[in-house]
Amino acid sequence: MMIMSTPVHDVFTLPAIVSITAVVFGGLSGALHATRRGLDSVGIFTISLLCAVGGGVIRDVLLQNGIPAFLVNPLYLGLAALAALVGYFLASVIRIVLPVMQIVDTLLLGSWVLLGAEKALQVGLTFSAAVLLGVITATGGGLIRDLLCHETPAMVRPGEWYGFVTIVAAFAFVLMVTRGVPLTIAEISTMVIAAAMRIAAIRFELHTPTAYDLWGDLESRVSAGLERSRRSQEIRQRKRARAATDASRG
Amino acid sequence: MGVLTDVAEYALTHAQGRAGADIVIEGLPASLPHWTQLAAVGVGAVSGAAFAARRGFDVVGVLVLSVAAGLGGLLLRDTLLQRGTSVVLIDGRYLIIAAVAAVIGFFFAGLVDRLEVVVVVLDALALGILCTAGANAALAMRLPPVSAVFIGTATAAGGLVLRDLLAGVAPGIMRPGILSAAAGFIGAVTFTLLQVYSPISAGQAQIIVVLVVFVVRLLAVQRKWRTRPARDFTDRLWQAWGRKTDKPDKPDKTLEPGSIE
Repeated sequence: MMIMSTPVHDVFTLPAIVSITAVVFGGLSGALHATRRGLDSVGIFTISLLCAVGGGVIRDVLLQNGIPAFLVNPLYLGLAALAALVGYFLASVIRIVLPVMQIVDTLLLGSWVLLGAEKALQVGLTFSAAVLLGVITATGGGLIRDLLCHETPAMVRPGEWYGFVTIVAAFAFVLMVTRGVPLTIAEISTMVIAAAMRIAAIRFELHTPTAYDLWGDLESRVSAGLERSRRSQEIRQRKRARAATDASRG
Repeated sequence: MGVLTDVAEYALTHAQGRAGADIVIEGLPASLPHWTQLAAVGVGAVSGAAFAARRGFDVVGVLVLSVAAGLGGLLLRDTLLQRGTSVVLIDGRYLIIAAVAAVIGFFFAGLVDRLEVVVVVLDALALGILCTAGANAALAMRLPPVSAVFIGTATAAGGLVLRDLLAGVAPGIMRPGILSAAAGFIGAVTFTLLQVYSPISAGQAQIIVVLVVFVVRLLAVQRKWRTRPARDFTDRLWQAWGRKTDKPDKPDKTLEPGSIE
């Protein structure tokens, strides 16, 4: 089934630097994670490479719109390998520049969402699919990393806003583009939204809520209410009985 | 509020924009109506979301597991079949259903747990629908019957596997337990056999298979049929061989742990 790429939107023009930084950052953070887990060189390279290209690979495999970008453009794999090498030999240097990396990560999180959402819109997918692909592209690398390290993915665990930020940013971007907001403005405001939410999350320690058992809550409230009314009824009955006996005595 | 209604309106109009009911599979013979597939996805998504809520995951976790459990099977099918972008992504209704399921799981996990019987029944129906959807797509692409059985089973079980993988637990379908993937396998085999060796149409075969899977699954739950761990027949094989060649017990000795060390 071919999907015609409908020219609904302007040509998407994210500068190449965005995907390049995404790959380098993915690779470095993957390598760092792997060294922290005490993996060997093979492990560090595997995790670093997959973390670097992971999000894009999932996106391209799901889209089935040609060969995944990292196989077509040798730059991606080369940079990912370089990042893995740096992570392997210079782990402590990375740890020193980690705060800087985190700042850049915060500022660029929105642009990584754009990498997926824009491609989905380019192919002509629907609203929700574009949101999903935006989120997957931004978080897929970390997801693969956690799965390979045999941990519960950080994305599904309760914690500081991260996956949540990507969801909101992707939603906002797709909404703006489909509502006819000029592309550049939509891109910039998406990045601003994502960065602002990340900064707020770090500053105010905002955590995503865990599931709220509305049903159980309602049930306990209803049963408590019933209990209360029954008790008050009993008390009333007792009072009435006492009054009756008093009256008969009187 | 205006934005929210805009979003809802947009979602509703564009969900069907690119994809009507014709999206299912090109050249596919008449089959069960498309909404059955959507319903099957919804059932899977709700159980995935409730699973995440029970394990104490956050909003994002509930959403991710709902999408994974609901859409994992169809995504796996379309990725393996390489038919282009997955139906799940083209037809916006799938993802909207998964999102609604996530909301249900987030707030009403307790209710979902309470209605266990309903969930089991719906899940049994969904299993049959998904395994036929998989096998049907593979057969429509003229793949050999064995592949159709595999794709059918993968479509039925894919959501469960992806859910467990993302939740960080060993996939439940691979551990001994009440048969679920096995029921999907039985359904896929039945469907493929019916399609290859009998003249009935795909739609009729689907109805039969959904019923078969439903009965098998419910019987499995009721009678506690369980898939078993591996049984090692090596000893018996050695013994049988030993009797024939008149060398009793010798292989047993070599297999003792001490002798290996």
